[in-house]
Amino acid sequence: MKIINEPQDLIGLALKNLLTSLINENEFKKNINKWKRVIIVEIKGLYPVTIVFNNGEISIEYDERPKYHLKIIITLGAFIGIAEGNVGLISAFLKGQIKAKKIYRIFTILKFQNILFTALKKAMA
Amino acid sequence: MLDVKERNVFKSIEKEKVLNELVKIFGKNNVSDKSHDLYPYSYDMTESPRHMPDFVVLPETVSEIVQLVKFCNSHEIPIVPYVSGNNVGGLTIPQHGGIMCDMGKRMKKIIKVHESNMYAILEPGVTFGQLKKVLDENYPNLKYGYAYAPPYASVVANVLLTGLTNLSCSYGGMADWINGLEVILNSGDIVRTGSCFISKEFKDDNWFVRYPIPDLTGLFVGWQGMTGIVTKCAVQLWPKKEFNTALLAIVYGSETCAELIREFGRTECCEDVSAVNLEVAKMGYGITKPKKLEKEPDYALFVSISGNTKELFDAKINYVTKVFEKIKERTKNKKLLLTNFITFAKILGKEFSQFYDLPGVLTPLYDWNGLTWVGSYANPDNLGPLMDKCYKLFKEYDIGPILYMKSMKSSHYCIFRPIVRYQKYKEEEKVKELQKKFLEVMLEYDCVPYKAPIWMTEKVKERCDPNWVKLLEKIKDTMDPNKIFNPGRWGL
Ligand SMILES: Cc1cc2nc3c(=O)[nH]c(=O)nc-3n(C[C@H](O)[C@H](O)[C@H](O)COP(=O)(O)OP(=O)(O)OC[C@H]3O[C@@H](n4cnc5c(N)ncnc54)[C@H](O)[C@@H]3O)c2cc1C
Repeated sequence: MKIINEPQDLIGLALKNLLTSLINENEFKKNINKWKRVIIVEIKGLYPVTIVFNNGEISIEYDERPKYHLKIIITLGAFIGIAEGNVGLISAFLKGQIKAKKIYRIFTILKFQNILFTALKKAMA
Repeated sequence: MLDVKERNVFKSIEKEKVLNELVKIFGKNNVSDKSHDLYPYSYDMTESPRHMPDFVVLPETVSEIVQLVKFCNSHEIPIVPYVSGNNVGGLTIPQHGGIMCDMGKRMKKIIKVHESNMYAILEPGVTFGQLKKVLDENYPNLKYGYAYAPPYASVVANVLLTGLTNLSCSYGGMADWINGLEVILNSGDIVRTGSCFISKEFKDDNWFVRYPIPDLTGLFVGWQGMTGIVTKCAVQLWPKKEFNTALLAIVYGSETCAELIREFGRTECCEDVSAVNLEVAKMGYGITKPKKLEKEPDYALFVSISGNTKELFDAKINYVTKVFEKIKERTKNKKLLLTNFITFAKILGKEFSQFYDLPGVLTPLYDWNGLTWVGSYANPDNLGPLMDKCYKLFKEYDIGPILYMKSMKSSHYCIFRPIVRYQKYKEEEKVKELQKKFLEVMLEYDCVPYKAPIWMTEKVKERCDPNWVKLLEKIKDTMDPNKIFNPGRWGL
């Protein structure tokens, strides 16, 4: 279980920092051990970053890959609000603060959301 | 007039006798002429030329310094006032040798905190970290402003250099916060400036204001220790507010960043408005030469806000947000973002809290063994082109760029400071050249250098009002005819 590259952009570095904090957590390990997904995260107004989960190895790349399983576009306000515990995922979706492409991959969303929420909570502790 | 460049420090007295005299004044444990003790005073983190002192003394009392000054004045021996040497301008390197008067070890008393009048009387060795601790623990309703300077740097030295802090958007440069000084003149006379002059005896409860008498304090501010040795300084403190936060603006474009700095400053709602280029945040991750990628923003702008009541606090945040939205709308810059800095910093990583929890050691500034800058007070209208031109110079010289900007006193003026981290000795020549280029650009835009090393003051003197220089020389001649106080600064 490891992050195999060194991101060069700021959001990538922040995501690396968030995910690194989970690296020794059993639930995280279990979640991603046999998981192969390409997920794009874009903070609206900034730029997209690609996270590749590849059976326990994670890479974080600047910009977006053309082929992905899920793309999440989130406003900075919602991202910060989730970290602060003031914004819930569903309400953010309903208010259009989070948009997802390929939303039919509901399990991918749920799993990724769980990872991100746990990491954000940890960062705020 | 004596030409200091050719002076022989010990022309009227042998070095041995000087040592004996110093031991008599300070005691043998507080004097040294050993090269291993002197060496640390011979250089700093900048590219400034090195020079060894002949002695170091560690005073504890005002009367010791009086004796030192009288002795040195009669033998024309240079004295360099020193606390921790963190001025980033080579200002304490003894260009002409002589005696380092190191007040950082034994003159560290906070003589008084006057709670109702909101000032503190400090000895020169009091550090930012020390003052914060004493205030937090004993005077929770009062605060002082803190610089990005290390916590072990001197408050008084930075006050005398007109430094800048995280309260400077509200209250201006640190020299504006002086209520009064106690200074030892070349004759050994002790003089007090500000309202404390009203009594013949030293009283610690009469330092509440600097004016309306002739402002003699100015004779010691910005002079880099060339006119006398300050032994006490009364600094204004400020009421601590109950509600505090920090915002972060993420900005594309230098002109927009400059406008935000100016306009946030003018809201009169912010204690601090500072900006850096994006690469600085990456340096926080230990990346030595970070590159800005194409789609990344250009600048991060930090704003701190406080209020005594929730209503006042919220109103300030609302007003700052409104100003932000107006600029966003007018510039049609959809990519401008404003958010909570404290949360964002936590997401970025633990290291980032250091930017708002001052004083602290900002690790990116210590990653390399060389650190230097061209610091300046800048015209707020010129920030945009200054940022663009100096950023380009960083790229040209292949040095990781750090641009630091700050609104001062509601944007009456700004700070503009390109900061260079480098490998000492190895990259020194390149850095000297780059620094010269920065200065050229900055002078073209009428920036006023602060904490200026000698080479910079020479350039300033070439282009500034000659009568200003004449007056400067006249004052120095009057106050220090034997040129004993930190000789060489400003070419004097
Ligand atoms: C990483 C870093 C970040 C910094 N960030 C900031 C910042 O954000 N804002 C800022 O304002 N500064 C900043 N500084 C600059 C620096 O910290 C200040 O200039 C410093 O506080 C001065 O204190 P010092 O102990 O270093 O003084 P010294 O370097 O020892 O002395 C400074 C000058 O004052 C004179 N002097 C000292 N004591 C006396 C005295 N008793 N009487 C007369 N003259 C005296 C000296 O001769 C010298 O000319 C930074 C420095 C570093 C290294």
